[in-house]
Amino acid sequence: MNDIILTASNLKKTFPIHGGIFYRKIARVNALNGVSFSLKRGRTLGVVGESGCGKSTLGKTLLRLYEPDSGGAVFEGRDVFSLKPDALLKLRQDMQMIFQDPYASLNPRMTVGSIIGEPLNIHRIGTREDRKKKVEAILAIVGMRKEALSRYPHEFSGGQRQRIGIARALALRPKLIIADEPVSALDVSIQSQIINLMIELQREFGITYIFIAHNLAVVEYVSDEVAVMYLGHIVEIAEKRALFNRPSHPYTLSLLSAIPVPEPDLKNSRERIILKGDVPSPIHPPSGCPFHPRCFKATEECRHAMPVLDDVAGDGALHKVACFNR
Amino acid sequence: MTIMQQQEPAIPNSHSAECNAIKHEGFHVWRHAPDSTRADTVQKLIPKREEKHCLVLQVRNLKVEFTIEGRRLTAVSGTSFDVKAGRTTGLVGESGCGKSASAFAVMRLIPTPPGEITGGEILFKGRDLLKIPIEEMRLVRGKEIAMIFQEPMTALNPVYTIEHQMAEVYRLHCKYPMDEIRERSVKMLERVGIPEPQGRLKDYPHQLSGGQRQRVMIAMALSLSPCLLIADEPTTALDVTIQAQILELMCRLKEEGGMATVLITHDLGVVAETCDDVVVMYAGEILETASVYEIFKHPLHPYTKGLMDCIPRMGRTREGPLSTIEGMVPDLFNPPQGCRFADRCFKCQALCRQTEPELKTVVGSDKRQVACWFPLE
Ligand SMILES: Nc1ncnc2c1ncn2[C@@H]1O[C@H](COP(=O)(O)OP(=O)(O)OP(=O)(O)O)[C@@H](O)[C@H]1O
Ligand SMILES: Nc1ncnc2c1ncn2[C@@H]1O[C@H](COP(=O)(O)OP(=O)(O)OP(=O)(O)O)[C@@H](O)[C@H]1O
Ligand code: SF4
Ligand SMILES: [Mg+2]
Ligand SMILES: [Mg+2]
Repeated sequence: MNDIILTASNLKKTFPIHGGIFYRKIARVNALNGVSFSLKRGRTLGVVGESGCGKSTLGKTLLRLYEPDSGGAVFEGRDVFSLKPDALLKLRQDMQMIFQDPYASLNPRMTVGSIIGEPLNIHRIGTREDRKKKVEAILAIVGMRKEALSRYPHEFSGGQRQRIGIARALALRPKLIIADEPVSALDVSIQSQIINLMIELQREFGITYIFIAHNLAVVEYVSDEVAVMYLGHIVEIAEKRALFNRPSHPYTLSLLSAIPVPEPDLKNSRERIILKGDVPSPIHPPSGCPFHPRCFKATEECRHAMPVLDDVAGDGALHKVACFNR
Repeated sequence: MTIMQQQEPAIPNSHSAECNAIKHEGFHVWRHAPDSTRADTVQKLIPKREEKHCLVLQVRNLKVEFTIEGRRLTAVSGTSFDVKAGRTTGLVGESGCGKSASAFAVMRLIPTPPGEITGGEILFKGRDLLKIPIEEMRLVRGKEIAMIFQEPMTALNPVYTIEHQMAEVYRLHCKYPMDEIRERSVKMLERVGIPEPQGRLKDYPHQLSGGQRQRVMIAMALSLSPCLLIADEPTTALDVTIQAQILELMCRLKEEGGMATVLITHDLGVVAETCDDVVVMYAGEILETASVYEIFKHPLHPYTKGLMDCIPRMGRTREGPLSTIEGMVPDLFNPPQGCRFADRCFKCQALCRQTEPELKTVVGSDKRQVACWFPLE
């Protein structure tokens, strides 16, 4: 079961920034700065990191919704970035994305039934009747009533819209699902329901997930491995237990210390690592280690040289970190 | 927990001293009323520490309905709750239970049609917002009551730059020259942690990450130092370190300026850390209200208990599935006759299905309310 379904190597992606009265290109946002990882079939890679660090861009690039500046990705032996349109269509049948902003990703002029059924239609799966049944079944799975099928996305609450997006991604039973904040708009009960469902589908059909989220308790529960991103870099990647029990990168440490705890009595007694300094800019990234301006362990070396992702000695499991002073 | 006094004075409109922030250097400088002739009344209203909690918002029997293909869906069915100055009220509950609809109603932004506020009062500093002309409401919005919307893309206009949209907030309410508006916008974006804000002003919303969009909206909401902030899932797209930073910012505004906040969120960790009072909603109704300490330590409603049991906690192994509350919310087109939670409740008895329990003050408590025939002990 441990074969590799997807490898990404040294992915780079920048976006132009415009300004001035002529709206000229004046700079570039470095969204991905050389991201590499490999993903085992039937497992879940959790991706966490600072807002704006390139998580959604990573997902969209892997699906080729964005073309990367450089780097490669291989999905089941197929070179993602050189696929012809029809092969790309096939790829998107195997690889689906649950988008972060459900409102922006659902067509407002389509009913919920046709939104969920659309991928089935595009890929001509089953007869009309089959598809209709399938859509109904999947809607029930995400905890919504049948009456919803003939209504439009704007008529639903945020969490209901998110579930419509999840239902659409699940409809095709893809091999890999890139889930970008799939449960952030859901109450904890439905959140658990969706996570239980995703894990069940994984057990049954061997679906692989890239699970992007900010809720670390959720990431801890669903993931096998976790990647921590900062400013377009993976700064730490590890088998889940290794990461949560022995976090090594200073950014990971500060992240773990900032998790809100559901115990009001503890709110004043917790110790937090407060990051100093300004959030760095992806337009003018700092020299050396991208984290050094805010790092509480930074030394002279960090200002000039870039640490590479390296194995943490003595940790049996997968555990790599990019830091000089771990 | 602070004990609230029996009679809380609603703030009369003309004496909004406590909530009145002085716009100066962004929104973080707050002072009490500048007008010395009002000093006396102001003194009475600027209370000693624990008397400070005067009511800013009182929602009374609010009812919101949507008409879809000739059928009526009751999104909010007669809810009442209070929000006090200098306090944060958390609004939690099942997805689709009417939290955003309540917030939109306070802003009078329910899309009509299909929606309509069909009953109730929304008293803001004692004045019913449902009765004032819409032009006046436009002036209240943004300046006195600001809202952070759940999905940034619903609030940000995709065809205008960030700069244009931020400037609009100022243009509507104050007469600053262009470069001052620009300066203030940049400062606000800095305060919510957007790196190199100057470089971002010319961006369109789709060029920002989910969390950056959310922060732009937070910056817009806070830019005029509102005295009531309605924050609908303000931090869902933010990582925990920036989330902590934003929550702290909101906390500071609350403590320094007496801003009242309604915080809608599914993250009960955030509720525990930032809210003073909690209102639990389900299927358009309020099931329980209590202080944040009581609600976590000792939930009374079976639904609240179920919710607490579902909180994902750190350090869990994947031995069994996560706990959920079995079943589905009732059909809001045809709400059941009895308790709306009955179908999913482990305490349900015949009475529950016949008669709907009312939200009642719990005997022996100060302010706690619960709507259940058989609350937990
Ligand atoms: N279409 C675009 N045009 C220009 N810049 C973009 C575009 N999409 C993303 N960016 C920029 O690239 C960077 C990474 O964005 P991305 O959406 O990948 O972040 P993210 O990690 O998903 O953040 P969040 O957690 O806030 O969603 C950000 O600085 C963002 O402003
Ligand atoms: N424009 C609309 N047209 C029709 N129905 C609507 C509309 N907006 C909301 N509703 C319905 O009203 C009910 C309450 O929605 P609301 O957005 O208030 O939920 P919510 O509590 O904010 O949920 P969430 O946590 O998922 O955001 C839902 O059942 C929803 O389907
Ligand atoms: S390499 Fe240096 S600057 Fe970077 S995180 Fe480690 S200690 Fe901090
Ligand atoms: Mg994102
Ligand atoms: Mg909502």
